[in-house]
This record gives sequence, C-alpha cells and structure tokens, in this order.
Amino acid sequence: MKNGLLYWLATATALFISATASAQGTVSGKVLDAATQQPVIGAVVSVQGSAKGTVADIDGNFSLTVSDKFPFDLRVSYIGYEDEELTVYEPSEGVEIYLSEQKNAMDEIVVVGYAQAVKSSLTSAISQLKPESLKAVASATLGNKLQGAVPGLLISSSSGVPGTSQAIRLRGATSISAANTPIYIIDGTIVNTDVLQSVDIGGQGADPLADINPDDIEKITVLKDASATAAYGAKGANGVILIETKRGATGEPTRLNVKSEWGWSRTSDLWDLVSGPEHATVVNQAWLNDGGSYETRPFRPVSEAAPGYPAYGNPEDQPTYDRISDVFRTAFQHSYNISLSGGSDKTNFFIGGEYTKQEATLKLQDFERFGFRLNLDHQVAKKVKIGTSNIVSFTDRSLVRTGDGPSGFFQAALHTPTFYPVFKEDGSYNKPVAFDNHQAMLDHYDAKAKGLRLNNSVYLKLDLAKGLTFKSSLGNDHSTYHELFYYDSFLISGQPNGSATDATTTKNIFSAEQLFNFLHTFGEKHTTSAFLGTAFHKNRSESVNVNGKGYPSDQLRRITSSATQTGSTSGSTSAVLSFFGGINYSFDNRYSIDFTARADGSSRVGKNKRWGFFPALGGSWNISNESFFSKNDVISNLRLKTSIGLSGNDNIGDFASLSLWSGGRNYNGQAGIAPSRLGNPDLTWETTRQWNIGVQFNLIKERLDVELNYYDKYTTDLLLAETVPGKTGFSSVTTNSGEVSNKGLEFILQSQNVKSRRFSWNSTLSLSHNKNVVEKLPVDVTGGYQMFKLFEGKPLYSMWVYEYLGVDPQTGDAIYRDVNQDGKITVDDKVVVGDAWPNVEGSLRNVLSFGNLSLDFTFYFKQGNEIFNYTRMFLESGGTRGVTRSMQSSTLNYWKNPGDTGVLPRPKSKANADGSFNYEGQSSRVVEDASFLRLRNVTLAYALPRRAVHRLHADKASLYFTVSNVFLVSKYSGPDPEVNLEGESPNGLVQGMDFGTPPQPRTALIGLNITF
Amino acid sequence: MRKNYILAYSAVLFTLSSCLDTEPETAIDADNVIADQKSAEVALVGAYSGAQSFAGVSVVAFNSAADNVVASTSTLNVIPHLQAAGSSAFDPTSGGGYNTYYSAINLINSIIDGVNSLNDGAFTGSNKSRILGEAHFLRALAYFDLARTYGRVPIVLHPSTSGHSADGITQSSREEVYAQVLADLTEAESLFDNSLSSPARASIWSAYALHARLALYTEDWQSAATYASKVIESGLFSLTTTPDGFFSNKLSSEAILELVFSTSDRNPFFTYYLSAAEGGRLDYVPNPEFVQILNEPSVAGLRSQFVKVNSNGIYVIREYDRQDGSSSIFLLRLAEQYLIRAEARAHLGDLDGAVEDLNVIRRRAAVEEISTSGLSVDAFLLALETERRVELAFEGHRYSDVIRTGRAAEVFGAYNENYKDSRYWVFPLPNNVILADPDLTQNPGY
Repeated sequence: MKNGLLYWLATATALFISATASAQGTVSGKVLDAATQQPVIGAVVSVQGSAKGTVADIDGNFSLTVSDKFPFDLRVSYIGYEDEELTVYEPSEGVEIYLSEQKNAMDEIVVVGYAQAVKSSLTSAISQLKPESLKAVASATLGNKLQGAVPGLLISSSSGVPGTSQAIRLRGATSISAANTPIYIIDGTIVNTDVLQSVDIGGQGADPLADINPDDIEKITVLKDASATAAYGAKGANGVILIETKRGATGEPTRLNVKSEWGWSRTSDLWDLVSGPEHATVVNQAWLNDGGSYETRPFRPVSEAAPGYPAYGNPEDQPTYDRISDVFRTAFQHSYNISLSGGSDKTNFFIGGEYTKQEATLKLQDFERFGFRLNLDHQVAKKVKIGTSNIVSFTDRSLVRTGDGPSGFFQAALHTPTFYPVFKEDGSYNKPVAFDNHQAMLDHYDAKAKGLRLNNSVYLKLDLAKGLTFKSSLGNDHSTYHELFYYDSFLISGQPNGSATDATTTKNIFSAEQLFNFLHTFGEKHTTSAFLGTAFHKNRSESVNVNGKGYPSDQLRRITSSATQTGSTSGSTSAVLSFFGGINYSFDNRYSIDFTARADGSSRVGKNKRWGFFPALGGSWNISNESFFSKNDVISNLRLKTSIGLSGNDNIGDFASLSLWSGGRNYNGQAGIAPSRLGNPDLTWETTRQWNIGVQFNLIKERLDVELNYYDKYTTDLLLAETVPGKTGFSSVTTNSGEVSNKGLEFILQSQNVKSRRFSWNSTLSLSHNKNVVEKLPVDVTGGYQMFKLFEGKPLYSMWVYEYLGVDPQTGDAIYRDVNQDGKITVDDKVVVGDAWPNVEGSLRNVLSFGNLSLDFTFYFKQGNEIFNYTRMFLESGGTRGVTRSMQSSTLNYWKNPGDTGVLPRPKSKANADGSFNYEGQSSRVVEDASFLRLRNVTLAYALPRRAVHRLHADKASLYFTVSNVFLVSKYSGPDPEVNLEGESPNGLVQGMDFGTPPQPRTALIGLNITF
Repeated sequence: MRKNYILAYSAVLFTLSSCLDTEPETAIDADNVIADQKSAEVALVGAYSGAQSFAGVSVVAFNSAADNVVASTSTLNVIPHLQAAGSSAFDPTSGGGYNTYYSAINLINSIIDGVNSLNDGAFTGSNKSRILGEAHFLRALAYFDLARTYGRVPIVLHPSTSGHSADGITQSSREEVYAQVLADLTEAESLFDNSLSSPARASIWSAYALHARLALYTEDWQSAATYASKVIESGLFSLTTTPDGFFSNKLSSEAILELVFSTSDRNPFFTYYLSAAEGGRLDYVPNPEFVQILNEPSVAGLRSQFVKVNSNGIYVIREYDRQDGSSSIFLLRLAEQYLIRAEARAHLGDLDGAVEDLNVIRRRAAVEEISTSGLSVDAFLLALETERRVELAFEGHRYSDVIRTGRAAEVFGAYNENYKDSRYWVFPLPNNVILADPDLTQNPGY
C-alpha cells in the first residue's frame, strides 16, 4: 500500500515534508518466531539500501542507531525463515518482528498444466523458470532467453539476426520428418510455432515466438517426461512449454512499471580473405596443375584474351576490394515497456504496452515490435470467477536474403572474389560472378514483413464443492505474416524489369477446453487430486501469394502496377478432439502415484487409425519423510521419482494419408492436373514411449538443491517417406516405419554459496547430455545436402563425407580413406565422421549481490558437437573455383614442393587417379569440432538507494548494464560456432551447418527499470 | 435439468467429432479422376507439363554431358556429369532425370487407361482418338529419351495405385525400349488426323518426326528417310531465314513440336545459362573450344549468333536467354529432319541427295556448300557430324549423336579417359533410383 501509485499521488507532498523533517535516531526491538514466539537468535536486521545493520542477540533483541533519514526500510532475515520487511517512520523502541518459518517448498500446491497437486507428490520431470532468469539476456525474443536455462532444452541459434527462428529440441529429437518443436501453451492456449514465411530468404525463418514480449512472462514451466506430457497426448512427444503471463494481485495497489533499454551490437572477427594478387596466383596455379596451358592461364595480360579464354590481367596488377565491412554495422536496439497492474478485492488486472526495435549487425535487417497485453480476472460471485488474457502484437521486419542462393546479401559480400571492383568503369554495379552486387543490394533492396499476433482467451471458473472446481475456457491464437518484397532492375532477382512478391500467410488455432479439478485431503494422510477434461482444437491455415513482373517505374512497387502477374493460394484445416484425465494419490507425504491418460481423435490421421490413446504412470517416494530417515544437516528433502508413458506427435501434415491429384500442372495457358501423392490409409501418428527416473535432494541445510534425471525415450511409427520404385511415377509414400531413441541425463544444481547480511552469491549449474540414435530406418533418408544422411545406429544430423587423411607429401594430392579398398574413391567410401549433437550442453549462472549492487553472469557451453563448415569449403578452395568465388587466407597454405607437410592439397580441380578430388566438397576436412565456451552475458545492476528512489517518488528503481557474448573460447575456425543454416525447418535433417549465416554479435545494453 | 445439460453437451461433442473429417482444398481424391472429356483434357495438359519437366532435364543433362557446354563454376571442364556421379557438384539433372520421366509416364498411363475405359459417347468428335494420340506420342517421347540416357530401363504401361504396382518389372534392353517407342508412335500415327493446330501440341507430324529420329538411332535408314520426307514434304513447315530464327520467335515456321513456356509457367533454363547480372546463375557456359568453332565463319557461319559475349566478357548461350522464363524447349524442328534425311540417304547410298539436304542447312547459315565430287561416305558423315554439332548446338543432341555413331572414344575420350571404354556410353542409373527399386541393376562398369 505504501508504495502504490495512488498513494504516491495522494501523499507525495506529505512524504517529502516528513522525509526532510526527520532526524537520526535509534530503533530497537525483538525478533521472534511467529509460531513459537521464541526469540530468533542471530537474525540479521539491516537497513535496506545501506550497509548498516545488526544481529539479534540471544534473547532476540536488537538495537540499531541510524543516521539515515526516516522513513527507511528494515529487512530482517534468517536462514529457514521468510524475510520480513517493514518501514520505520520514526525512532522507536520495543518493535516486535515476527519471522515465519520458510514454508517447505515441497508443500506448495502447484498447478502443472491441467493438474494441480502438492509439490511433494509430483512424479514428473519439470523445470520452472522465473522471469529473473530471463532478464539477464539482451534479446527481444524468448528463444534466446531460454537458451541454456533449462537442462535438456537445446536451443540452437541460427544466426545473429534478431527475430530469426531457432532449432529447439527438448530431450533430443524424436522425429525425422514431422516437427521436433515442443508445443507452447500461453495462459492455457496452444499457440502456433510454425514459421509462416513464404519467401525463401536463405535459411532464415521468421520466429513465430518473436511475437511474444518476454517481459510479460511471469513463469515458464517445461514439461519433459511422459507423466507430465501425457495429458497433451498426440501433441506431447516433443515436450510442452507452459507460459504464464503476469497478472495483477488481488487487493494490491496499482503499480506502474516502466522499463527502458538501449543497446549496441557489433560483430567482430570476421573472415580474412585473400588479396587480389594472391587470388590470381592460386587460380593460375590450379589452371596449370589441371593441365591447362600457360598461354591460356586465366590471369595473364588482357591483350592475350581469346574467344572462350578470357584474360583477367597479370596477378600483380589485381586490386583488392573489401566488401565484408560494408555489410556490417554497429547495430542499435532499444525497447520500452510500460505496465500497470493491481487489483481490488474482487478484480485484478495487468495492462502492458511495449515497443522494441532491434537492428541486426548485418545491414538491411531490422526487427521491430509493438505489443499490448491485457489480463483481467474478476470474482463475479463467491464461487464464480471469470477472466481473460490477451496479446495484441505487431511486428515489422526489414529483411534481406542472407544465406544460400545467388541473391544472398551476405553471400554477395563474402563470396565475390576480392579482385573484382564493386563498380564497373561506367559506374554501374559490377556483377562478375553468380552473386548479386552487395552495394546494389544495400542501395536497392526493399523487403519487409509485417506480422500480427492476436492471442486471446477467456475462462469461467466455478467452485462446485470443497476442493472441486470446473473451468471452461475458450482460446484463439491468430497469426498473420505479410511479406512485401520488391526487387528493382538493379538487383538480379528483379531481372529484367523489376519483380515483386506480396504474400500473406495466416494461421489460426482455436481451442475450447472443459476441465474438472479435484483436490482433497482425507484424514491426515491421504491426499488425492484428479482432473478430467475435454478439449477441441481446430487449426486453419491460409496463404495468398502473388507475384508481379515487369514494372514501369521504381515508384510503383505494388503488384497492381506490374506487367504480368501470377498468384497462388491455398488453405487447409485440421481438427483434434480429445478427452483426458488424471489422478494423483499421495499417502502421508511419503508415497505418491499418478495416472494420466488422453485419447485424441485427429483429422490428420488415416481413417483406419483415427483415435489414439496415450497413458502414463508415475510414482514418487519422499525418503526423507520416512521414520528411518533421521533428520540431519547434510541431506534433506530426499525424493525419488519415476514415470513411464506414451505421447504422440501429430505434425504429420493435414492430408498425408490420402491419394491425391493436384492442379497447377499447367501448359500453354491451360490448366492441368497430375498425381501428387500416393496415399496410405493406415497412416498414424508417431508415438514416443518415455520413462524417467529422477532424484532430488537438498544438501547442507538446504543450501544446495540438486536434481538429477535420467530418461529413455523411444519413438516408433516415425513418419517416413518410404521410397518407392521410381518407375511407379512416385518417389515415395508416407509410412510409419522409422524408430528413433533418445537417452539422456539432466543435472541441475542450485547453490546458495554465501548468504550474509551484505553479500550473497547464488549459482546454478545445469548440465545435460542426450544420445540420439536412429534405431530403425527401412528407407534411405538424405538431407537437402548430400553430407547429411541417416543411418541406423547413428544419430540424426550425422555428417556423411569422405574421410580426408591429409596430403601426400610427394604429389601434393589429397588422400581419402578408401573404406572398401577397391582402389577408387567412390560414394561407397563415404563415412559418418560427426554429428551436430553436443556430448554435453550446459550453463553456469552466478548471481552476486552486494548491498545495492548485483552481478549476474552466465557461461554457456557445448562440448563435442561438430559443424559442417560449408562456408570454409567454398572459401578454402585452392583456386579450384577459379574466378567465381573468393578465398580465405588459409587456402594459401597449400602444397608447393615435395616433402611439404601440414598443408592443403595442391590446387587442382581434375580428378586424381583414384577418382577423388583434392578439394572435394564433402570432405571431413571441413567437419570441425564446434565445442565452445561462451560468457553469454554479464549484467551489473544497481538498485537505487531508497532515498533516491523516494526522491523520484517511486517505489523501486534500478539501473543495469548488460554485455552479451562477452567472449568465446572455441577451436572452430569460423566466426561463430553457434551458426546453423536451417534454423527451424520442421523436417530439417540438416543441423550444424555453417553456410552464409551471419554470426551472433556482441551486445552492450543499458537499462532502467522503475516501479511507482 | 442436469440431464438436459448432459444431453446438450453430448450433442456438442458429437458435432465436433464430425469436424475430424476435413477435405483438402488444393487437391482432389485420386479415385476416378478421369471421368469425362474435360477431365481427360486437363490431365493431358498435366502430361505436357510433365513433358516440360523431363524434356528440360534431358536437354540440360545431355548438354552438360557433351563437349558443347561446360560447367562454369570450376576450371574443371568437359563432361563433368559422369565424373560427378555422387559428388556435390551442382547437378540440376538429378542424374539424368529418371524419376521425372516416370512421373510423367504414370500420368500418361492414367490417361491412356482412363480414356480407353470411357465410352466413346463421353467425347465429342474425334477428341477421344486425338487425346489418346497425344498421350501415346508423349509416352514414346519419354521412353525414347530414357533409352538414350540410360540404355536399359523398365517399361511400365499402366498407372500405379500403390508403391508396389510395378513390382517385378525389370529393365528391358535398349532395343526393347525402342520397340515400345515405335509401338507408341505407330499407335499415335493411327490415332491422329493430318491436321496441325499448333506446334505447341503433338500432332501426327511430331509423331513422324520422332519416328524419323528413332529410325536414325535404330539405323533403320529407309524409315528415317521416309518419315523425314513426310515432314519435309508436308509443306506445313519451312526453315526460318536465319539460323537463330527458331528461337528468336516463339513457334516459328520451323517448329514441329516446341514446348512453350510463359512468365507464369517458367522455363528455368535462363538461370542455368545467364549470368547473375541478368538474373541467372550461369551454371553452364559454352565450351571455349566450341566457341572457337562457332566463331569460325567457314564452319558455323551465321550460327555464331547462338552465343554472345555478356557484359562481363564471358561467352554465354543465347538460345534460352529470355529472362522472364519464356524460352521454349525445341523438341522437334525442321532443320533436324533435313539432317536426319541427309544421314539416312548417305547410308542408303544416295550421296547426292544427302549432300543436297546438308547444303539446305549450310545455305541458310551462309556457309559454303559442300560438293559431292571426291566425297566419300565416311568423309560426308564426319562433315554431317560437325554440321549437327553446330546446327543443333544446345538442344541436347550432341551427346547421343557421338555415342550412337560409335565415335565417343575418339571425340569425348580426349576430354575424359572413361569414354574410351564403351561401357561408359550410357549414364549410370542414379544411386537412389537403384536403392529404391530391387528390380534394377546398375549399368555395367559403374
């Protein structure tokens, strides 16, 4: 009450006068246990915002003389008790302060998804995150903030561009061709996680979760094991992420919170390319080694040019142009959050507004978001409550194609040979090779995307009887992504007279849920909770994509002005009807058992297999509550838990089971049709069986909190495009034929290293390991790139290449392992040499508080994962790519004389005697260990002293400074071992590929957070 | 009261469960698609779209396998294709396009079986036989290109209803495949009338022209000359004034069958053959040695027009250079018929007639005519080989011409040692095709 805005409005003046009028004085009194009325010996009594303080004596008495001006806040704390705060307005004696014993965290009633239960009876493996742990990361999107924060949740950044999608894998990957992304539920509503983009911008996707303002989040719960996910049935196999947003508290005064951040990012340590003369020399060498004549070498006087044999001038005359530094910038970001929250005894509310703008360090890319939130709850009658949660969010992106493809911006700057001038002599853009001109793109690129997200839900909750409630909720998640691309005739994509795309993609998920919840304790020892419900979800997607070519002028950029127009549209609906329930019984806080089940009927599944059933069973044992377990100071709250169950993955495409013919096979202006899919009426969803065993305990008087989980997931009926003989006219039919396993360990240790009056230090160490194995693969599955192929017994994202053994010191040619020893290097000699999975992923977070200062820093690491460095494959080409691609400096270290060792092969593009190539693209030479340790972020925060805060007429204020990606330790040769071409493509088999993806920048950010 | 709630609730759930039956919106169920003339016509349009795909692959694959075109992305030059089997080199042909052909063949088989099963009354006029004629012709075209690409391929003549529909069908020999092509052409010839509505669609004239080409490959010289003559003497076609006339204008007077494209149905060729500055990727450029030949007035004459120097000083191919994707694929044109007849006549001993046919082509290109005096048949055939190389430069003929005349060891062997072994005179079946089909065996040597 004392801190509220209303209070502030009403009493600011009075407060001011009283503050200036007070003199120094003494406060004394007694600290007592609230329950036993016994003195709390050693309780720490300190003045908030200063270093002053004292300790209660053997009778609980304390006395504190302060020079601080009244009023000031006292904080009283002691291990095992909840902290108590009070404001002292004048010198006083005999103050009695009651500390209540810290509630055993295990006795809390927790709500996990549909279920509510006493925390000590939980049998499932879940992780909960509070907003504090998200704050420290300087990013506008949730994915970045979650990275490394939850053991078992592996988030791979795709690039340094804000708002770009990421690959998110919880406890490994369970699917080959259906999605591997966990489902997200925000305030009870399932939200879309599909990338809605329709224009290919080279390995980048628009992150559907970037619509969500992370500042609105109150709590994140990650459900991992079968006992927790079974209630989500056919959607639960990849895990469930529950997000609760902030709500006002009943009976609290209205608070105004304002938060502003300003930050700057830079990308450093980029590629070191060769100079023009170096380029020319290597290319000439390759030409000669290939048996080309000296007279026709590419770099020779221009006067010697002959038809078909262009001459580029002598090597020493070649200029050198730097393009890379033209395309990067110091990027600015800023964000403003303002929220009002509060409530009366019947109604509470949270209203928030946000603006965020974040530039990418790669020019031409910006991310901007306007967000609005309204959460409201109202007690209509004693037993009737209603409420609503709402997000309205607009995103605005400036885009440029970065990665794969000739029109990639980043490619153009990185891969155009350095000897080519940026402009021709006549001043026009020079485009000598397959790439566009980076300067032309900087000057003329015009690509934007606007997103709209509406996430709304309402609920009605009835208290039917003691412990029995009914909740009915309706939710809708609507996303629209509207892309507007205009390429003028200066760009290769705009050839010859301009070209534009206008595409709108919409996805809508409607959900309706009815849920009964029951919680009751019978007698002293029997606690039962149960839930029973039904849900209906309907997904609708629509897309409209129109293209125009031939524009009269660059002032007219919309499709309507173009000479010729083409378009396509599509729409699709799917629906799921579900019944679910669960029961938990716990005895004497010692044993508990859980049973959960869900039945799902889905329109996506073949008619013969429409309904699926997903049960799970879990149990836990609180060993420390047993009589034989003597209470001690070393180990407490020891719990064992285990679960087993099934969950499904219904991301199998809306009509995968039907035999279809499609239109669009047009010829000569007439509409045509052709077979498009071979059906499979027996098609069903993928099913994951998972068991989990975990142990939880506290050590050293609850100073250490440890949780260890082991899981074993086995997924069957994997959807695979089973290859059919090509002569049938089809390449594949979708069948349920693959199997994949994931086994792993998760460990989290939370430690209170130091807790004293002036200084506290907490650490969280999180480690996880997952072993992914493709167990059964009746068909051949290759990723979009030939280096990624699946094999039984090997993990997904395996890199399948020729094993490079080095250079023959005598000939200078590359040697590859001849696996089948037939004297030739053929496809049969390719082997799996690595994969994109880390052996261990982890983070170590430390939070240090010293008076008003706090320091929060997190190390993040991965160990044992490999990257296929496709970028280096192109750049370290020994001149075999002639004048078409740039080279990096390392390529100059090639074999020159017999006896040379530790060098690259000699420049040569013709085949060796065994059929291999010196600069083979699919070579283990460019498969690199991408282990890294990164200081992901450091935040130094300063809570303004109470006096200063009061002078601002505020309640709380803090100033903070964050640096992200402070340093990186890695042997990886590229700038960033975390780049990943595919990001999140739902059926991506390619992970861990560095190809034209801009690295993550270093960001420095300063922020101010004030609550009135 | 409570009972009513339960009833109402059950009703809602029942309604919702009917929502589980959803219908696709951009596709139709495969059962009985071809039910009348209209559906047969749209399926036939789909078959032409399929032909666009396989003909596109075939032209690119054959061009890149021979010595007229080279990959531009490396200093590695001629015939990268066979060397590149299994390598990561850019290959838009997916190893020759095997699956592309069969996808079109399956559609064509659906049309042939579907139309045959319909009553004649379902069609107006002669439309039933015309539709069947076009379908048989397109199937002949597909199998002809399959046979010259891979040699032995399986012959499938009925539509697939499951992945196992064609189980047990093994590869037929090249001769058997050519026999099937001949059967389809003969059937088509019997179904078509003599009209020519547009060279964008197959007609009896396309069937005759392909028949002549097939006869050349099977060395049935008499048929080659006969069928080429039918086309040449039909009076429906005439050579364009300049050699580049056939691609400068759409559906020129020379076109017998030309697959047309438009801005909304684009031919991807411009991306392969044009530079980035012109919106392409320049995957392929003319072989520098071939450029020298094209620039030799006594050999190529006006056919130097087939290439041009682009703004970066590099020679590029002009034939498919419409940046909006509307360049055609020239499947059958009159000049080739003259050259077919010239070759057939030479083999039949009619050297005068052969030379005259050859000179028709040379005259148009403004190249000096050759004379019969002192000319041996072998010397003529060599001259004809060069004439075909230059005249049909980028239409995908060069590879099979050199192979079928048995000259690959000599001509291509200079670039790639493999060609000295005649087992390598066919493409390998792509590895994934073999793995998908236990009935297939790889071509010997690969």
